[in-house]
Amino acid sequence: MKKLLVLMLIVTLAVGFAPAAAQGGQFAGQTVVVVTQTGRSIGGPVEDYAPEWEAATGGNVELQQFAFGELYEKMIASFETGAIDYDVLIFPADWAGDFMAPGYLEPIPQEILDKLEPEDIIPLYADRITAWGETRYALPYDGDAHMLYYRKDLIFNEEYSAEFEAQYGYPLKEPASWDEYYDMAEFFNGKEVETAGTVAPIYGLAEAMRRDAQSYWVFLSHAAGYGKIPGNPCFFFSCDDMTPQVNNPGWVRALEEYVASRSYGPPEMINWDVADTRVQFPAGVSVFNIDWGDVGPISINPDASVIGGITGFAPLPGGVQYWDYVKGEWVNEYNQAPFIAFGGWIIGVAAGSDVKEAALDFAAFMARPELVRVLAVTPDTGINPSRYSQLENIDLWVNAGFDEESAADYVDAILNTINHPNAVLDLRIRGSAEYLQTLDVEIARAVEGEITPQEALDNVAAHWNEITDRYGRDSQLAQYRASVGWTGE
Amino acid sequence: MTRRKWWQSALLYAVVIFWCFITLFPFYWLFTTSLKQPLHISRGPKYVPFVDYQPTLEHWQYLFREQGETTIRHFRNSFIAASGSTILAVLIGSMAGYGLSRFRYSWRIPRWKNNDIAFWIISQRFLPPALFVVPFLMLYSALGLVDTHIGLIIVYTMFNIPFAVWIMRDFFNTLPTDLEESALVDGATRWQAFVRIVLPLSAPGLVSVAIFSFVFSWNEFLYALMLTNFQAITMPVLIAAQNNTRGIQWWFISALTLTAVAPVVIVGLLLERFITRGLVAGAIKG
Amino acid sequence: MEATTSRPAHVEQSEGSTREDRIMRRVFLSPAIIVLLLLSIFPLLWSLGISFTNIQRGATPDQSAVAATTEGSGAALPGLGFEVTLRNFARMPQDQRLLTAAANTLFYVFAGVIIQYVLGFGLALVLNQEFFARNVVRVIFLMPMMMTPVAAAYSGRMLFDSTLSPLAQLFRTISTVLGLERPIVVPWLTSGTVAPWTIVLIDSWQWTPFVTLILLSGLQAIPDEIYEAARVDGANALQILRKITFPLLLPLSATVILIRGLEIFKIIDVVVVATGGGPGSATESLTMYIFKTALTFGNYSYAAAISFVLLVLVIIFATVFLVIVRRLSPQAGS
Repeated sequence: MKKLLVLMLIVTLAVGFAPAAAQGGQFAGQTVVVVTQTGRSIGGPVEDYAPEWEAATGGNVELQQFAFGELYEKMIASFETGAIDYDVLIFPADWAGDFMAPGYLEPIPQEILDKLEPEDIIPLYADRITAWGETRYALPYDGDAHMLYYRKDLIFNEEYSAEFEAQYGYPLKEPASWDEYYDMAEFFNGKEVETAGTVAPIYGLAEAMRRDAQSYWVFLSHAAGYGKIPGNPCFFFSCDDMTPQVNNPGWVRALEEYVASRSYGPPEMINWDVADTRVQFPAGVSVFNIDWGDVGPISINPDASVIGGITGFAPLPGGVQYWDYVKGEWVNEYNQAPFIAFGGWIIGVAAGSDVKEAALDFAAFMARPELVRVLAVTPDTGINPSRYSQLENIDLWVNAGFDEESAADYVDAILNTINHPNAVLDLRIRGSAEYLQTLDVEIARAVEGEITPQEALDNVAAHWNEITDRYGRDSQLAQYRASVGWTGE
Repeated sequence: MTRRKWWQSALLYAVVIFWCFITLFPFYWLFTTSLKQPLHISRGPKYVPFVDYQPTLEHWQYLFREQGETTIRHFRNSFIAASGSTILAVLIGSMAGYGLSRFRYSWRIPRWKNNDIAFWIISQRFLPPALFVVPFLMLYSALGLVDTHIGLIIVYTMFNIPFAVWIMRDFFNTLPTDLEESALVDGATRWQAFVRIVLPLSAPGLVSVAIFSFVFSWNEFLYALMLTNFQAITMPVLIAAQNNTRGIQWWFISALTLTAVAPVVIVGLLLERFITRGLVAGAIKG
Repeated sequence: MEATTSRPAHVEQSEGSTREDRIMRRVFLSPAIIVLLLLSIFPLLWSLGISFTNIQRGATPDQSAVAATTEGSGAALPGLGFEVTLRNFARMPQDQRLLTAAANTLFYVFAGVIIQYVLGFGLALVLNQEFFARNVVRVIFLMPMMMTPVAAAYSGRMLFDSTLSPLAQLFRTISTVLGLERPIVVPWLTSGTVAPWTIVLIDSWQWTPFVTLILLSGLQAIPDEIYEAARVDGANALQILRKITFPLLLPLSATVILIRGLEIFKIIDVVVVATGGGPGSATESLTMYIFKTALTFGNYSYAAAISFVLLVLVIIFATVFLVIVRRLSPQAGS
């Protein structure tokens, strides 16, 4: 009997202490709920690496994912109703104004920032997309900018080039301007070309046009070349008085072309989001595609792509002219202005979280340089390069499956985009989501032909003024100036 | 029944086969899609596994092995929310239906009689959901009901009660009162008469109400999306979430949809003979 | 529902003859009333309340109160902080997007109800016949209803794709057989004129079975003697359908039409998934617009105001419909 008691005591002790001994971590018993979009991209790495953190700290990570179209509503509703169900949020940088300005996110302590090798992070991603005012509210995770993808095998084909030159007066090349881009799209559209061993008609381009999705960023990429004034960082609004520039002739030209380009793409394109074009373009549907960096790693995945090794990468084309809203006239000069759409996914911690310490620790764990470097070259993570070390090291990309030429091409395109002196930053002020959603609907109406591009953008301008006045014109202006780094005349 | 002429039979079978095809083809398509690789979808339609494409089980494996826990959690959440609200709705709904069928009510404020009360109850089913989502969210976060099974059960019960009352009241109207009355005369209480005599006789009605309630709650999306965050998320929200920046994950959507639909179809098969009988109600005999 | 529930004579209603019954009378009805009242009263009052304010994201109480006093466009209530205004209601008639969404929704309701009722009635007549494996076929007919609308919409996107779907290939094949120069491409989801129809088709695929089910249960309740009598009088099938079956099913038809109509009125998931409201604003539904207004744009007060107007319209619509049906119904007033 005694023995039994002793045995029971030992068992109890062992059971009681074993987990404590094994976990012993600082966050034992705490559960961190992470929210982001669904699927392997962005959320996948959390799934994969959380166990490592759990083992080290004794904490517990739960991942909750929503479709992109519902993510903003879920996050903002959680804050505005005070429910605060999420501790760590991985979200697109352009929602920063709506989350950071009202104080929904916890400022990131300096010691965490110091651990991230801050000098390695491209300044654009290090400071501009993660801070609100002087305070950093998020950790950089991913870097995102739009770029141009094209079929190298078709564009650099001598036969086609000769035929093209006969029609358009210049040979086929990587398009530098939107005019050239549309010429080439028109030329190839409907042409019977060989893709993955089958000869079939190909479309000129595949661009996202679906409403209520992410396609307005694609339109903004068109608008940048026509609406951005070199040397003036203010693109969406004038930095003098917050007058929307969205309906100036530069933007209108961009929208007219975007609408017209429907005829160079598949009929289904108007119902395609970026998520669809990045499935279709690698499947060989079109010659051109505009997207974030994601298509690079997808193009070399044989399960999803037939264009591995024959994909060309380039910064976005520019305008052959641009509208100078200060002078009120067209300037007939070539103007390349790559659009840093979106800015990337960043990691924030809810200020109302009751496991703040653990949440911060996990956020830092996910954003640590060694991990982010690996993730950027792995297909399916959705994480694109945001650090110099990722872009300077070609081997990273070659090891991931790119051929050497493609890797160099891809990295160059990204570097040329983010280092471009005339690059345009995404809108990052309070109400960004609302400003852009308004744009989204009106673009969609113009694309469908319900209203003219001019009418559509006039409507947008009216809405934008209303939103600006609601939030307070002066404070919006101050935010906009700060977000683009406007220093005044 | 008079004998059909041959062409009438041919027409009948043609219609039946045609409509079965319309109904079943999407299910077949979901099935084949769940076995496809991305390129099988993005490079033109492929119809029959093994014949025009090489099927893969990897999506099913991903959902039920690697993601098994997540998938099953959502499935269980749907099941708990749907069955909980079904039980409550059937109970509360049949009580109210019985009350409205057997007793005369006349309220003073507002001045409503049975039909008005019934109409008010049924009208709750038609309130615009957009009116409810935001206040519910506030109410629920104040009460700590966000992301709980109870929270979902309460909303779904609210939306299932009107339908339950409507069907059950009609059903009870067709049931003769003699049996209950003789039970009452024999000394049974009203409640005993209801539970022991009326409810068993109403099995078909109860079954059809239960099935409708279950299907509604099982498939509901908007409230599930807004009122759950993590623990209590249901299958429809999981299905909708398969649209991400990697493209719409058609194979996962297909596999999850089939998983979600299977139990309901099986239950439907088992209880088919009840459903139509239950709805017969007093609809015709006037 | 009133239209359908004419009371059989043998069910006597009473206020309760015994004391116990007078109590039980309340016990039976109260739970339902209490649940519905508790759950609907707060949202209704809240929505009604804020629909008269300017509560929305970005408008802090102080600012708007200041704005109100300076503009003089509304009365600023000092204690409340928010402006009390009728602006939300005044804005509706000029809100182009709202009007389009309302028109789209009405289209869904009318087209959807007509298609579903006609098909549903026909299928109910078919299912009421005797044929091989009828029970299995009945369940097959019901299957679409059991799929979550989100999934039905995704299936719709797959099957109505204008190039990659079997349907598209069918049209291509037909074009080849007919020797057409350009293959027929139906822009199922990508043209502003066709897409609303496609939405209706998806909804009808799902919910025609519901109509069938309800009408079938009605058909089965019609006693055979009525048909026999008509046949003896020499009526043909069409006459029987017109003179007997259809009128007898009228009350049930009205109910089913009302239910489907009001359910379609609330359509959102199918639209969001299938088209996102596009192309342009061709398929945006009212519920979707309200939802976006509230959560994406943070304009809670305007969303509440629209919902409220909608609620009133729905109630008026339903009541008028019921009154008309009761007039038309042969059992009226019984």
